[in-house]
Amino acid sequence: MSFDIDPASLTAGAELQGRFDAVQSRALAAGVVGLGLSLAGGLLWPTAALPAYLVAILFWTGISLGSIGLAFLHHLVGGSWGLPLRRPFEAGASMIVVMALLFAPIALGLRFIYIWTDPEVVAHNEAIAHKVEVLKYLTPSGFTTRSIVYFAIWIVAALLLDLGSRSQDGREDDAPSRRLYAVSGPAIVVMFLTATFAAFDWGMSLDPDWYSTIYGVILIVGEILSALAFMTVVAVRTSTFEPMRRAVTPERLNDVGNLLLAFTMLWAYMSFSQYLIIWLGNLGEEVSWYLRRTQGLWGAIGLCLIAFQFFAPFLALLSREAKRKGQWVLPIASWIVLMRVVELCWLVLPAGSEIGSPRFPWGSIPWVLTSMVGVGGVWIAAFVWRLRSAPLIPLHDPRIMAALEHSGEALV
Amino acid sequence: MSGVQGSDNHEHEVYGLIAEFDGPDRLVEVTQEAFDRGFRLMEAYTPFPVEGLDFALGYYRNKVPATVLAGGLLGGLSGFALQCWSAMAYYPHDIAGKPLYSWPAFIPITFEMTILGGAFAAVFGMLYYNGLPSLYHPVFNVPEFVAASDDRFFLCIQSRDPMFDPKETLGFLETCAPRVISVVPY
Repeated sequence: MSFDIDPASLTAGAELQGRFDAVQSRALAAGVVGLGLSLAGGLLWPTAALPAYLVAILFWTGISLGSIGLAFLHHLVGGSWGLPLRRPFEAGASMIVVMALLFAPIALGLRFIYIWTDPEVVAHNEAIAHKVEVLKYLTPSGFTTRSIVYFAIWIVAALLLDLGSRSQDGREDDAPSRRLYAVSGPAIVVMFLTATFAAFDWGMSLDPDWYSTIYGVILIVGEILSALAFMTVVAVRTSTFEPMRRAVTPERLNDVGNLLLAFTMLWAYMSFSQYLIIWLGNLGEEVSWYLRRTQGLWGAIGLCLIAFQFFAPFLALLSREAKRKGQWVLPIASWIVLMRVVELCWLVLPAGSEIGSPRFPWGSIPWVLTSMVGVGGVWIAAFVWRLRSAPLIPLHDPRIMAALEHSGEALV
Repeated sequence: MSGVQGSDNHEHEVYGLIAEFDGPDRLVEVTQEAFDRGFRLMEAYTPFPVEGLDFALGYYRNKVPATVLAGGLLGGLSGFALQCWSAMAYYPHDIAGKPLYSWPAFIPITFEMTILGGAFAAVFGMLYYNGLPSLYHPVFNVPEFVAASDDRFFLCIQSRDPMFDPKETLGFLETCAPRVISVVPY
């Protein structure tokens, strides 16, 4: 029995549909409650709640962006590892629409998040004044306009992926897949450029006196890593049900485990490169970023990132036999997703704090939780809705079929 | 050679029995069947890497991963130690006011040396455990074997295997419907 015989057998069965229902309604309820609490927090204590909300926005937008990038990558290079992940990637990519809506509070609350909106700060710092007044780059209108452009481009990319792949399901010729293949290379370039600028605008401008050219890549690699880990969790969790049981094979888990290992190493490589260069240069305007993120409790969290975002998954993913087991890959992938939240807190929350007087923003931590649950609940509910509306395995995809044929894998 | 071996050990008169198959899928099935029957000292020969064959042969548990880990650790530690020694003892030098023991600066070389050690251990460890380079191998005594680098797939069950019995093993291979079964002489 091969995959392309019966489309009906590739949509989620009754049991999985029941699970989807439960996840959807629970996620939606959690999302509404979380967003409600975050809204209350944002109105009452905006300086504590809005940076926390930015953490959630960066995290969930990152999952969507990583999904877009990985789906394009799979269209470009093919391979059977994408079989269980392609539909989750496409559904995750479409969630960029949800994120565009949920981004509104950031644009409305700029002055509670970014210190370059404060004329007092700008007047006293030449580097910030240069970016705000001379270049006119960091302005509220510029920030908002650019964000709208990023989201517009990403929505087009996500629709191309999602609709293109679905239109392939119903036909025998491979025209939609060929079109996507042709688009993928340039699209990855555009995604990298827009995601880099978004990283500069949303993340790097939190410390407007500082700059790092590798910052965009650090964030992008983290986004890809977290998206891959998140979708691995989705694939393994659904793999107890048909048709995902047939798609999640030990060989493919092995491939996905290798990819997780590679992106974990790439993330560490990028993060360490930035640290090494700034540490060697030892210039006042560059080290400030690390001084803010190593003082007090943040220093301990930074060390935790080295130990638990790099070494723990790195060592756990070394063994080939372990990577072939779903019950081993699942906790590692979940762990990577969790550490991504910690990393984003470490990147966002210490921004603009005074160097030399360590003060941990305890007031923001509850709002990180409510925002993560709020944005995440809505994201997951919409994601499941999108995921279940199509067969869970992309049908007739020529790249996947070629990969299956080449490896001689049993399709049963 | 066979005389020397055969004088005290009847089983070692031949190297083994080799069966020839048309396709990779059939070879994997047969290999799995042989493994399930308890054969361990066997080897498969194919024109290209066949997915799943290593598992069917039971070869996924080998010493290469441990060797690579050891090689990587050794490479990384020696790279780090070399830098510590040269920067702190052999040629101490004040660079940009940094302490002599500037471990962040040592990381890139340590990383590269880990990769180098791991890669060397993987390649040479694999060759060593495979018994390569080898100037003579009995399977080449079978004329049909040249097709192993073209379009045929072979499974050779060696006579050293404790389960090996000339008649029974031949009987088992015959039930697998190969194209040809050959005796592999020494």
